[in-house]
Amino acid sequence: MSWRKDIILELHDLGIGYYRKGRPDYVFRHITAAAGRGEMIALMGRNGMGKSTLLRCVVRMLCPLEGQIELEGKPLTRYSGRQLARKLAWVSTEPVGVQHLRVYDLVSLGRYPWTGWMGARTDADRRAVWLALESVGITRLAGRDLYELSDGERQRAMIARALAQDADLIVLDEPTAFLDLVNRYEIIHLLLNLSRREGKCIIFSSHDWHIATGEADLIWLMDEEGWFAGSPEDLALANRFERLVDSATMDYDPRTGQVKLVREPVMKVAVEGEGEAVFWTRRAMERIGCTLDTHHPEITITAVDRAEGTVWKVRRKSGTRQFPSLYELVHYILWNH
Amino acid sequence: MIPGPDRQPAYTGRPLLLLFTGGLIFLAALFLADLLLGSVKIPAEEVLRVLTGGEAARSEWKDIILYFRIPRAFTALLAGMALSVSGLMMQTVFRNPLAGPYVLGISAGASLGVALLVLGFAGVFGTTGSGGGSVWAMAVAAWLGSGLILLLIMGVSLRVRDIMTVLILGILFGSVTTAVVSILQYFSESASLKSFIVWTLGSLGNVTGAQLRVLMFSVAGGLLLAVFLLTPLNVLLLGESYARSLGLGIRWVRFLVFLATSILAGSVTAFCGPIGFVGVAVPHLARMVFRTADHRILFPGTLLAGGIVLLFSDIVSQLPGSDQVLPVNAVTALVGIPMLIWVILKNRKIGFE
Repeated sequence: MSWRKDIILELHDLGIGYYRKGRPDYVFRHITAAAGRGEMIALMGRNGMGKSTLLRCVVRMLCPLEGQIELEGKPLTRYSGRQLARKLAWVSTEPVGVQHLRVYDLVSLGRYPWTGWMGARTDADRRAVWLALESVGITRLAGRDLYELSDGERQRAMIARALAQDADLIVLDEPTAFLDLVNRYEIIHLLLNLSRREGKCIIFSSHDWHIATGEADLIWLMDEEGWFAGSPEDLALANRFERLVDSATMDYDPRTGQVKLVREPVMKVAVEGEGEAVFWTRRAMERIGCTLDTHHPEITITAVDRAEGTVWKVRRKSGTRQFPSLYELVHYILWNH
Repeated sequence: MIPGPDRQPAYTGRPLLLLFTGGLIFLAALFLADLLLGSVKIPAEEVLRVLTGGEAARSEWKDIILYFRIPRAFTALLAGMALSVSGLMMQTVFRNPLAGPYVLGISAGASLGVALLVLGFAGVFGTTGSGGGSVWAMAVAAWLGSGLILLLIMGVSLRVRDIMTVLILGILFGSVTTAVVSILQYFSESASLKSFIVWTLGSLGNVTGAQLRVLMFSVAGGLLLAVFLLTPLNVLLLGESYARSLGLGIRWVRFLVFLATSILAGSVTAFCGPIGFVGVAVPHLARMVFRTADHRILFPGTLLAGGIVLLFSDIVSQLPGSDQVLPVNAVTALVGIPMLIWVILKNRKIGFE
């Protein structure tokens, strides 16, 4: 990546894993990658591919079995604990289960690499803590106890703690685990904003491949074929997504980027009508495993807009029926075909 | 807009000034009460006259106050503070609400030292536990015993990463030591056995003069070391992986906490015998009163609460109005255990998950 001057982290032919009985047992090998400032990177891969192991190596909780990690051009092993903490912050899935720990106090612990044993007490420290709270939008929670917060708020507080650390590189292990859909999007957007506005390099692992491929600048992919790094679109062009969701029960549509459970085909249907109702009717048919076929349908569904709402008319050889909702239509198709 | 420090939130939530002032006044009142009450009845105005430098109506009253009650009250204060702060640190380091100053085997080691002295070598040195030099001898023996166990544990803690392993080894070393002590007890004569048992019951009344000075300096040294550990202990609350990611040298902090604990709890045990439950219960009391996990607030809070609880226990052990005295260990258990039960029932979970 010699064309770039903003590289903060480089992985050189890394092999990760554990020692068993004194011999290296590799989980994954030949990882070569670079991460730049202002970039958000999603690390993806199925369970057991070694995502957490790799992240733990990057934050120096583990040692790689081979290869080298360089942070700002200097080998990771040459940093002291405090030097490293000033450049690299870490957010894990490990819960912090302490009573009476206030959000403000939690975030101010992020100042430790800068303050030492006296703790956060200067105006500069307080400002950094306050700015971190503001960046993640939880200033109103500053005085609350950590264990009173919802999962989304707690994750924000943990990210604020990492921000207060003033590190250029932030590594997060599954920051969207345990969160609902809205919170997942919000957390990823928050991370994206941090990388864009504050020039941080953000690396996170995720199973949320839809969100990750929709937002991240760079995907690091770990699968059976090996390591792959590229933009989400590079990945799609290289047909690597299929591998990510490759299993007997999942099906990937390369045109839409959608993933579905593979279902037994139910029947061939044709959907007619106007407007939004047609779109959602097709979605419902796909969901239950019907094949859309306008030429040789077993049944034909017509969505009709009426003053009192949409109704669905079903024509088949045996006759015609009408349904007031998609729920009832789906139930009829599933149990009476 | 960049907010100034004036815009920082009121994140403490508790009326700290009020709590600390009230606590100090209560502590001072208990200290005074400890001087006024005792198995010998001395009128309050006589006590006050002696305290202000005057002469008492009877000369033995002055001696009792100057050479017995004042050292005793100071010992209670110091021991309460030392044990409680040790317990606070140990609970954070072990992430365990039931940890206390003695989980590393300090009391077991001390009792081995004293048992060897009283039960094993008593005949050789001619000390029976009641002579003038025997408090020193016992203190040195207790120090050596607990120091031996602590060296073992600290050696282990610098090598072993997992804190649970350290905890289990501490308990195992303690059990082995206790087994050796019980063998010594089994083969000893009843007179020396009794003086050993009396030591295990704890006493605040044997520390005078030079011993009190040694205790005071040790406790001051241990507390000073603890002051440097307050923010590292706060960081440790986040768990080991976060603490390491913040650049905290976990093994060093652990080592220093063990060192401070051995100075604090070790010297108290050396002079007063093992005093139970204060070290475990008081930190929880402080957490409840101050509603914070911040060691920078809990440390002074625990100092206050520890002094209060042990002074109170000492007053109760004197059985005011009678000439009997109870062993202080029985009283701390009777005071400390209901306190622990109250904390557990009120919070359902204590401190850590």
